[in-house]
Amino acid sequence: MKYNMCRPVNKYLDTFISDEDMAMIETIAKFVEKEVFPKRLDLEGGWHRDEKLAEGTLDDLYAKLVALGYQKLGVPKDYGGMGISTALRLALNEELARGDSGLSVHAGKAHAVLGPFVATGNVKKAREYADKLLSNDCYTAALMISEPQGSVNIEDPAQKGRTIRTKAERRGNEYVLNGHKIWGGPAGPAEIFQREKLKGHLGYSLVATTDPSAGDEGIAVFHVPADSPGLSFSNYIKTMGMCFTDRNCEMWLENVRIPEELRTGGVEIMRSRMTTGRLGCAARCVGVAQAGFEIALDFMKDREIDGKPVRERSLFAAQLGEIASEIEACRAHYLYVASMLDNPKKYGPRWSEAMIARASAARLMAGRMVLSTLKKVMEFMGAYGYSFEYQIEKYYRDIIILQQGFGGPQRDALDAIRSYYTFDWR
Amino acid sequence: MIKDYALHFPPVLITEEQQTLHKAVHDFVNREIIPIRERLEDEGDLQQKVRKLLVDIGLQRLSMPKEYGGEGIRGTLLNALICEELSRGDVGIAVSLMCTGWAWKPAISGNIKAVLDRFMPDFCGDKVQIGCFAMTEPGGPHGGGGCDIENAVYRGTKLRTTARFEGDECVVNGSKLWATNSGIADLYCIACTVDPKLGEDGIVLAYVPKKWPGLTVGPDEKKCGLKTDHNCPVYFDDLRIPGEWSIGPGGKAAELFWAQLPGVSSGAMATGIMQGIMETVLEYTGQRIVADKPIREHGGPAETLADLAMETELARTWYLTTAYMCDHPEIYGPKKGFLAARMNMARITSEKAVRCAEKAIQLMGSYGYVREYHVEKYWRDSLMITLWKGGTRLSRHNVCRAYYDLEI
Repeated sequence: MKYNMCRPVNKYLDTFISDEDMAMIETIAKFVEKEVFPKRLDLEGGWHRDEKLAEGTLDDLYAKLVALGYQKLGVPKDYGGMGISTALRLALNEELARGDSGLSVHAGKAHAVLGPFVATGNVKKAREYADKLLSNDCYTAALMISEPQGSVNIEDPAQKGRTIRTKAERRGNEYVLNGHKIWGGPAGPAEIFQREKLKGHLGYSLVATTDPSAGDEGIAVFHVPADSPGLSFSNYIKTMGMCFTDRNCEMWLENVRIPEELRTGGVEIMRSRMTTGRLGCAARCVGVAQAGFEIALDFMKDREIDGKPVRERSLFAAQLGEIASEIEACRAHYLYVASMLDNPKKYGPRWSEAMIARASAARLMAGRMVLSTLKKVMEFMGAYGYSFEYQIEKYYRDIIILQQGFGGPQRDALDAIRSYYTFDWR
Repeated sequence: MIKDYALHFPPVLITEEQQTLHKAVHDFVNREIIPIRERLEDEGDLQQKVRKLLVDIGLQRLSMPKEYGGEGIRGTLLNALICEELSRGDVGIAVSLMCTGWAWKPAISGNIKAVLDRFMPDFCGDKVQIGCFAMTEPGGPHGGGGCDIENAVYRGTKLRTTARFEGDECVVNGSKLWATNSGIADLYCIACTVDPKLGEDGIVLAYVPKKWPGLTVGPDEKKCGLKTDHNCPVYFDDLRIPGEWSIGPGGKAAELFWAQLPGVSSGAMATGIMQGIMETVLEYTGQRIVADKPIREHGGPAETLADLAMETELARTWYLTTAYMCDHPEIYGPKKGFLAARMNMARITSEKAVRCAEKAIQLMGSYGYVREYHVEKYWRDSLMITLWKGGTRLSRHNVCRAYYDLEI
């Protein structure tokens, strides 16, 4: 680390991160500097968006992370994994996002399907998927929540599931699923996820309703294996950032038959996703801002105005100071909320109004902070900031989706204030 | 009705003992300060009454040494928690109390027996006793505003209040501006120098009781806010004190002087103000009907309220984590380098308090502008926090200094 302030030990407070955990963060931070930094532009396929290059780079970096044990971290101790704390998971997300936020998102995907099995006590299935994650093979998986009529409707607690259109109908000991999903990813025909360095797709954790008029009671989460008959997919949606690292598409379900044992809970699982998902985004925003800040520090050291480095001129120094403050504040806050998340007895379960509110506020703040930071850095660097090879513009494009996933900033704001008083649109 | 679990954001960093004390101060503020907060800034008697109540609940002697009758409970985090709560009621009262502790800090840390023996028993007693730490000067061709004297880069060379040692006496000449509690203090701690050219080696800290020959004070500054914090010019004209009431020169005073500067209490006070604004505006927007429903149930205002909530929680996390670090030097080291940077950052959060007040006033329309709705006072008060100790502009430079060498 070039700057003492930027060493993990100075970034993460010891009440939240133990010494052992700190060692893990150091490992990932070093990995990012050594392996990810040189490949940042390749993750987007370079200037010409070469799909093969992008896919190859992503698979390669993820395989290296798996070799470092990254896939084992999130598996609970009962199932032979590391069972890491929320704070550590987020800190690692931040460190990876410092390299590439898409890689950070991708690296967490594989666990999307394990959590619900663990939470609902489906030991047999949990063990099956835990064993896969604990092996040396690389996997991916995805959440499927949003629908074309607006994801905000589905994730809005005030709607109580009334607006979910993907239906699950019970027939004997099976459910039959019909509907149309969008934005989840990585998604697509199962075989495209069988690549040289990727063993396969573990499936989708999908939100549906058994009865829209039943409110929260009707909300159901299913594990849909990637090769289930009846699934079809659109082409990839062309996005402005995370072009290959988080590939989204539409998904249609036509009489997809899911055995009863793959129903993995209901509204609580879905709402937990909002908390952990948004908090994860907050951590990644901080990581990206940190990367931008360090690029600015370096650039402004070498760049001079009238014979003196830019960063030693008070106009710029004051702004750098402000950026540093905001980054540190947002970091401290997500760690703080993470520690509460791991203490549900005292602060409420992760699907509670209060915890959704705290995670939403953390993300809202971090999202604004990273946008303003990168905008400032771009101003500091002039046309260089606008150029592909100086990285900033890619970071800038990538982070937009960190703000928008799981509902956008306005959704965050309403979920944050809902913990103070009832707000239900009516 | 405000859902209470969101209001009492339970801090994970604080111990049971700290939580108990915090709760006591929280209840005290609700009971004694909130009901009279509107009158407090205009009525000196009322301020004195509140100060006496603070003595009665033990806050004046809380951090004073045990051997003189104090409680000996010191700690950045606890101090900050108290600051937040008091500031929710009236930030000037918090500042005044903190500055009494501030004036005492060099004597306690440096164990200056003569000063402690002579003045400390009173401060641990049942009467209101006020301390004043005087730093900033009027300036002149050499500079000397807060921004220069409190700027570590100048290493004390901008001080113009002089200390001369004659026999066993110390003779002080010069003047100070802006110090909290000036004019009403019972004991002053004055930053001066034997010779500005000596830099840090020249710095002297001199303790002077009120009404001492050679000490005169001017009229109170007429400020737009923070009126419960009194500031006036203080003049020293051949003021003679026993030499043993002073610290330094030769570097010892300099160390204690710089230790005074970083602080998380500004951040805690800003948080208290934001919490106060939040509680006030939630109540108002919950009762006021616009287009057939309460203001806060419209989408736009709800988003603004979320902003206020978010900024408040962030500011609180910020000062708590930083204070925690200050209380654990065995892990985070002395209060310089990155820790000093974090403390400077805590002060920058005060700018958010100003913005929160502005947003709250907008939500309340003209009522927000009216004295009896409280928010305009929070706004006026919060502005001052951004100007302390050289101001938040200087804080930004101090943040940079943790990342790279910055010589402006």
